[in-house]
Amino acid sequence: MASVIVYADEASTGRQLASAAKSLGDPVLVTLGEDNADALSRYYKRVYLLEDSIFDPLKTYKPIMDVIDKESTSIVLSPCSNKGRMIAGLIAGGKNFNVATDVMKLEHGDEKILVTKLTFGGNAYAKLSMTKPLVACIASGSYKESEPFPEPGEIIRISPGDSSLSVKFTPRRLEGADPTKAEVVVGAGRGLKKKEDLEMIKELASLLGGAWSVTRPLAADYGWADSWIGISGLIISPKLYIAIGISGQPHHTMGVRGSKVIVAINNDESAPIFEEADYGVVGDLYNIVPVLIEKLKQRKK
Amino acid sequence: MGMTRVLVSIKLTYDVNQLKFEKDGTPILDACPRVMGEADKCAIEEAVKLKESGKAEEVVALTIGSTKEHQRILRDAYAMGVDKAYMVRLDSDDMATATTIAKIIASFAEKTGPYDIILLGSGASDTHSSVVGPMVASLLGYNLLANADRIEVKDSLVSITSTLEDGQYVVESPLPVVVTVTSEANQPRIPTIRDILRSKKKPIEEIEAADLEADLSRIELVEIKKFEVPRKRIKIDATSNVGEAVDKLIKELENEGVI
Amino acid sequence: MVDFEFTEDEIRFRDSVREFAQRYIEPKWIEIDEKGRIPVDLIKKMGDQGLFAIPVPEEYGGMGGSMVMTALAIEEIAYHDPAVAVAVYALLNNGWPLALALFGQEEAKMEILPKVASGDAFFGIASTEPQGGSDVAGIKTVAKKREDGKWVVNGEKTFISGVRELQELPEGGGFFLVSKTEKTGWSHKRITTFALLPKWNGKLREGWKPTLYDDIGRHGLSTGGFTLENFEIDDKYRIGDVNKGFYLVLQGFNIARILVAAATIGSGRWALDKAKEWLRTRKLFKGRPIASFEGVSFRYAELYTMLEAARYFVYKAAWMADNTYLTKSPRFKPQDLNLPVAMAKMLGPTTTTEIYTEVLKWFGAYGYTKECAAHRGWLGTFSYTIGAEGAQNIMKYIIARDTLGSDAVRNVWAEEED
Repeated sequence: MASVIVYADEASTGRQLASAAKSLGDPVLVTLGEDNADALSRYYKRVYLLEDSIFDPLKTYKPIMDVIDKESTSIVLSPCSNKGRMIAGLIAGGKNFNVATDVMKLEHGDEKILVTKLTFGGNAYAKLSMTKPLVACIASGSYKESEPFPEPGEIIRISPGDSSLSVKFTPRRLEGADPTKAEVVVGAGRGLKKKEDLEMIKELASLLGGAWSVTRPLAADYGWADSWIGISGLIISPKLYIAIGISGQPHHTMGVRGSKVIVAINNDESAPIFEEADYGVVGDLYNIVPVLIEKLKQRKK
Repeated sequence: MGMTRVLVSIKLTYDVNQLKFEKDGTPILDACPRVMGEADKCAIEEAVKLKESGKAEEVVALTIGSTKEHQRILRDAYAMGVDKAYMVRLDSDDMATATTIAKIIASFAEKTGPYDIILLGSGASDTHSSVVGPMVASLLGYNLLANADRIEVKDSLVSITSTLEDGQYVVESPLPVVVTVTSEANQPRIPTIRDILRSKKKPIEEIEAADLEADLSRIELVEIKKFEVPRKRIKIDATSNVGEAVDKLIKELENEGVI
Repeated sequence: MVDFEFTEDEIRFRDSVREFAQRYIEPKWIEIDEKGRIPVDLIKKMGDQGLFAIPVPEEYGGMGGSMVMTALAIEEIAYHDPAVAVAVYALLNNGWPLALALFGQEEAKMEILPKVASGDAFFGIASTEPQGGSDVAGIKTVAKKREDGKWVVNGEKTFISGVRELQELPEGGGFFLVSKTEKTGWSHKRITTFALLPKWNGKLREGWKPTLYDDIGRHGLSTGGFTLENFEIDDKYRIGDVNKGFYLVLQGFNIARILVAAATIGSGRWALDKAKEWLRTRKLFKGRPIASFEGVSFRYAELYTMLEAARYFVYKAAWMADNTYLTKSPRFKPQDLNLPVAMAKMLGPTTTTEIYTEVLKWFGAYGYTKECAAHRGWLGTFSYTIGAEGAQNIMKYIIARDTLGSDAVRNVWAEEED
């Protein structure tokens, strides 16, 4: 079978992309860092490990292009994270590959690949028939995590490409649990009037054993947090996501669609978030959240 | 150093918040207003700031598409302070995929260049693929600085600050470089009435896509429809009896097995 | 045939003002009304953005725009500042500078207008006096010419906007002053107008004694009065020929009134939009939105229609003003503006007051709270229903006289001179 190359730098994404790759060919991984290689080697036939662990897009995509040649691949998959899109674009330009992002499904056609992808802020989907070779960024949650192979794949060390960039990295400060890893995430949006109101969000998250985060305006504009949930920030796919005082702009909802169950609490019945929610609670968050906290506390007893 | 030239590529994007659909799910694109996205405005603002601080000598704006609305956003770019504006005429049958766009930009840059810095919005407000910038970089063999929240140029080195999913990156690059700019990078200037009135008379040069070496897209659109998010959409009214509503919510979540 | 659409440039300009107002005015309008002050740095920002002296020709430092564009800007500012303090500050610094540009002397124009355009100086109107506002011919402030050619002015003005603001601005500024010449007595043939600059080049002048009043609304813009005690005005600041000022100030009022109507409409539109949200989402009697009650929705329909009609009056009058004053081939005479302006000024403020009255009723007890903020728009615009910048009854008088005929409707200005 032809090999399908996956670029992934995180374990859960790596397992999802392995499923996608398996549906099209032999899954082969390119990743950064020993931890990722070890965690993912059971899901791939081969793992190419890039030694350098601080992300430099030029150092990363160049060796992937060599692997593409070596494996004679015509399909490359990457995540829809900022890094994934960078790598996808660089490869598409460098190797003259077609490219599609926010892909929900890939199917073999006759000579072509049928690509189903999201577009227009996630409000619409498009089905495209694309010729190979192609790079696709897979939307989080589109594929279930793969089953492992009986044997782990061979780990092949490769050198990073050269780059005249100089990169300094400061890891994201985690306040509490990591929303990209937690099973429950509570998100707060512009319905919150003051920074102090985040305390009840944190309390709710803690009661549910999960993480908390905010929408982009609360982080980027108000400075109430360092990171946010959204297409240009954190992409999450917990079991439960509770969106509090969030209107549901496409930028945000595209970041949470992988969640198993979504609850929205908002007093504007016509807010777009209710289209994206399994359970939409209409009312004043300042009345609802304290009551929810109280009842969850009682339930624990 | 010769003359530092900056190219800014901007996109006329659909205002997705106003996009409506027919009953059968077909998007009503004709009725959807089109605007220059926030990130693109920030890209122009960065370019014009470089010119004002003496770090760039010429700022060229480019858009792909030749409708009246494309002309309007180029006039808006003039009103913000760019020096020259170009419009690439596409055949109406051409599907302007990311690949086509990137190749046109790269080819334009080669034809009218060289450019030291190529700026784009980091993700279009409507499609947000964010791949065009990186594609242009590798097509031209330029360095890439993506998702810049802040840009500084000093002694032919461009350094950016960007926030990715795992933390903050401060990256420095020599020229030439493609920089993609987020909508957090700055507050774009609001053109004054004088800027607007003057921009009316500025020339917009048209280039045929066929004259640029960009091969046609190898993509065929099969269908495009409203995406019905597969959610239960069960409403719980908490406007009167909050206690009852919360009880119901907790019960449902227990049934779902998520708490 | 008539084209009822705005041009692309008018739309682009309006959008730029909207963006500015959303960014810099909307977040502050309540604080401005609460604290009773427009921050000087906001005024300067507006100057930098080119929101003053819009219709003033570029040769005098103005923006070289039109009255239609000015009205669009004022309407947009008022939408984001429903209490209209900022909107009125802006309209005064557009309308009266235009009057100065049209009727003043070159030297004074070159000296004053660029500073108004940049936001460093204020230029408004000083006409009203303690004994009357509507009766301009009855004013008692008097200017006497001295042997050295300077004018010496004595009198008292009341209910003047901008008295405090000009003192706080770096350059200062002043007013289009309406004064009798040599002697008082009732007359419209002995009025001379001047550019009065109580503070100029950063210095307060002798003989100008200001006081401030406490308004019930529109707190951000001061209302005050002042006495002039032997205040000296150089002849270069005289606006128009001696004794010809009456017709000039009436033209100035026409120009300003168009913009006042635009401001009230912007505020009224805000109120209707706020109400729309409420009517659609507030649910009573088992989940019925208030809008589903016809007593409410029909009333909304009426108010919406009247506001649209008032808007058309404003832009028609603005268009006529452009085709009278800002064109090389005027299609209208200045007096042709009297009727359409009076109608615009009559309809705009009263419609807005009606809107606020109804909207506050729809909001119910919530509307009575300060948190709701609608009352600020109500009180702010109400001063124009009362008659700031032109009493309602005078507007009706003008319409009656111009339609029914001044032979049947008593022509108050044809009375015997004193």
